[in-house]
Amino acid sequence: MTTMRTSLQRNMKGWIQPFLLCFALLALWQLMVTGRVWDSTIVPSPIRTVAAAWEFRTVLARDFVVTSAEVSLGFLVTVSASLTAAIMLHLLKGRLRGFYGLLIVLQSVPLWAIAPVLFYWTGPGLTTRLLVIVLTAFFPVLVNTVEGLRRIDQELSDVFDSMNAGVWQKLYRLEIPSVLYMVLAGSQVTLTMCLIGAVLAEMLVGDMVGLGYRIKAANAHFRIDLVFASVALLGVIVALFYSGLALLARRFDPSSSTKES
Amino acid sequence: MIYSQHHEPAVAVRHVSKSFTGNGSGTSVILDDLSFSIAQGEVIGLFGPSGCGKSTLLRILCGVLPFDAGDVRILGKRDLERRGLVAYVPQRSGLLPWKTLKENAMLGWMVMGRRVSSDRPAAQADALFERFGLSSVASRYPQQSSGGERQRTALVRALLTPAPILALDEPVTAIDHITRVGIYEELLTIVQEGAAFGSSPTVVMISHDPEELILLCDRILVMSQRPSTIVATVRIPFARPRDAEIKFSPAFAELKRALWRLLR
Repeated sequence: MTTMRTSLQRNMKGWIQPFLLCFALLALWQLMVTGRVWDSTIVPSPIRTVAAAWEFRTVLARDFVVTSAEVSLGFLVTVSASLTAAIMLHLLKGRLRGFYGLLIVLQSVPLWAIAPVLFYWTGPGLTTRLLVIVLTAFFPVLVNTVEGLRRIDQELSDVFDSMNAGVWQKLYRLEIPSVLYMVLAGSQVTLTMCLIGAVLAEMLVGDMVGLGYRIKAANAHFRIDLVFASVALLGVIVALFYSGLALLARRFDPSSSTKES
Repeated sequence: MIYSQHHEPAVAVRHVSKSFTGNGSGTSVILDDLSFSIAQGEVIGLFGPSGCGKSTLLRILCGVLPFDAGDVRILGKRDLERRGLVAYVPQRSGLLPWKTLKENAMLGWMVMGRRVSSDRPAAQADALFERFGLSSVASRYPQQSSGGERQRTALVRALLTPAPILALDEPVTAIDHITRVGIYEELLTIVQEGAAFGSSPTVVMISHDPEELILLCDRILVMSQRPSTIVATVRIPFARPRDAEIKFSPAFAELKRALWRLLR
């Protein structure tokens, strides 16, 4: 009970500082605009940004839902696809090394170049956007996972070998959990990549919906306040997903929350 | 633990050599033409200077490290067939961080026991946890446990594995002396209880501590600096069951002196 309370207090302390900092920066920003140091058409004040968000609330609510859905779907597809691919590469050992090299080369092709072509192949729908998201985030996760499978603790691997564990036993009891551990640890990066992919997809191959499209359209109409409002909503998505992932990590690694120091 | 009734030696090592290809510095020979054999039920200590290849030899015995030349037979079996016959307790315990100590202790049985025995391993695990003083921490995770608790868990895991031979590497984690003595005395009791039933595990253990080895072992193989060979075999004449009190006898002191001399 005492430990719970202290950890709660520690969490509160952890929150108060960034909150105060944000508040101070927003206040300063508002002052700069109200005091006409900054031009309010180019740098809309926080109050004006909130007003714009309210003005476009129906549109933005829809954009928010669409982008969130894309990011979560994209995240799930990316993680499962790259895990599957990494495990297959691992099981085939060196036999597909050439293929892995090819993947690394493919990874460096900028998506900006390919995304418009995808538009012609699969149309402006959700599929195309998901494809862009997965292509953005897939390779980094894959490379991390493959590296992770290569660097599994030697001692643990020895223990399994000494038990004469088969390929599947080892995969199921040692390798997949080890890698999940790592993928989860890297999931915040994956999430960020998925968000970048989603915004990119909405800007390039979109259905005229989503926060990425909204940013592009608002920019074209010189509604910088609406751009700011959309960017703020992207921030909200990131914050929501981060806390979700933190909860998931705690469930998956029960020891991390109660670690003794 | 399943004990074999054959009269085959538990371990037969013939002319085994092992070298590692270092990065840039060429190959370094670790083990040079090692030969020895261990009878079933024997408790053997490996003693030698740091870095002489004791752990390498142990990993070869467990069947997890390939060697360059020679022949290793465990109960007459070679190559991959001998895997699973030696339960391994590595230096850093080798516990899965996402499993509790209890779940970790059951791992050997989970991986291979179901094929072999239908005993109630959970009850056995509970009994062993009780003996090793782990009952109160059974549901903790390795990161939340002390080095000694982790090492004891790894030992229980090995004892629950249906392998007739135990291979214990020396823990590198800082375990205080009293904890260590406790662990090894408990191990001594287990070995002797097995002997009372006419079937005890064959044990190969590494230690830097001559007292520990003299107390527990039937024979101690003394290894030289790299490239390592076996320079001496010290037979421990004390009858079983042994009492930890023998540490204070003159014969014990004499053996200890002999071991220290061989190390130099």
